[in-house]
Amino acid sequence: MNTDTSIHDEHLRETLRTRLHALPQATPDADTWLKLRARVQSRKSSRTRLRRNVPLALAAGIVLALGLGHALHTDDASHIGTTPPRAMPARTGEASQASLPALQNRSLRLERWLDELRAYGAPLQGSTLARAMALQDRIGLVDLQLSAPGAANERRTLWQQRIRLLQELAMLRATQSPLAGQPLMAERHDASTYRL
Amino acid sequence: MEDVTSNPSFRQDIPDSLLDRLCEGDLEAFELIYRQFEHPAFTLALRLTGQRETAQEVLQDGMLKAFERIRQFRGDAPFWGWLRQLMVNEALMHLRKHKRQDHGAFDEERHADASALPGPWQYADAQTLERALTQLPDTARAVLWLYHVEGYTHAEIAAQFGRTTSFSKSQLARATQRLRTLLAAPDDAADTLIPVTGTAP
Repeated sequence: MNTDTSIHDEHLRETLRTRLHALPQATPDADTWLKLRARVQSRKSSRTRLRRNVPLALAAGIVLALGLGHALHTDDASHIGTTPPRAMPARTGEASQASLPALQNRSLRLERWLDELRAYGAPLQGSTLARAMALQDRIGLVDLQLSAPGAANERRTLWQQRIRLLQELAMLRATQSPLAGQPLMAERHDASTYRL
Repeated sequence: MEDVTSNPSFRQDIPDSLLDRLCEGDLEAFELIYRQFEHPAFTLALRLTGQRETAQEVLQDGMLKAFERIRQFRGDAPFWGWLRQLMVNEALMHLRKHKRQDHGAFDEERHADASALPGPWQYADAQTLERALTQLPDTARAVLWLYHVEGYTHAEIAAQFGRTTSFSKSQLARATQRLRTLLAAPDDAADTLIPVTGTAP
């Protein structure tokens, strides 16, 4: 009896399988290829723009960071901007005279640049990642100290430390090129998604 | 007379030279591959999602991923298997986004009784069977198709859904029973399916 039922079930399954297999295949819309090709071309040109522009942006950023390094040693906040300041020999003692708002402005600019580097950059790895984390920890410590009240001179010193650490972090990220020849981050993720 | 000659199949070999050109981003090679697989890929998408519009999206998104990720294809399995897996993943992702739940209880006893009868699909024409498929709950239909047509095992289906093999078996039984009901009384049975939106399990 059980054998009969089993044979019957298997027959039913086989019939269903055969009928499903025999269903006619479906045809996609005629313009699907055209749409697909347009999407491919659009992505290709976006990627080309990215690969062309990001190295330029990073190079400009490095120059800017170097410029900021010099500007840190001057009291003239107008040196800080999209155009790197002229290379000038650092003048010892002037850094300590920079106003607090000027230092805060530099810190803010560096943070924005770091955000851009993070957005376009490849994830850091290994010793570089460890160094970046150590720098971030030190920035966190400075921020902790800045959150407490203190004398103006002390606060200026802390802001200068913060800027120096941000510069180091930015240089670290800027030198880790995510660029040409490497697949984008999103592309690398899915390698393990597909089981074959 | 129904067309029984056009069984959709991914099992097509692609020359290595064409894949090499695809790796280099050759659009012409991509079109050749697209043309070769557009019907089986679209059919799979349509059977899994049950909706033509969604299947169009799945086909485009899946093919685009194939083009962009071809370098991840290691060549230790046939290309068609890799592409099919991409399409299955894409279709199931769409199903998870727009989930249609089946609120009807699965009646084991009724199913057991019904299984003694000949399957009504034996007598249904292709159009009726296709219509009944679209009326199945999404998950049940996907499991039915992956198991019977694509040849996935219950373990493989379970892995696709992140569930157990019991889930796959239960969904297959549910799909078979519902299909039987739909084909036996198409007008009444369609009312038992409640389309709702929801989140993935």
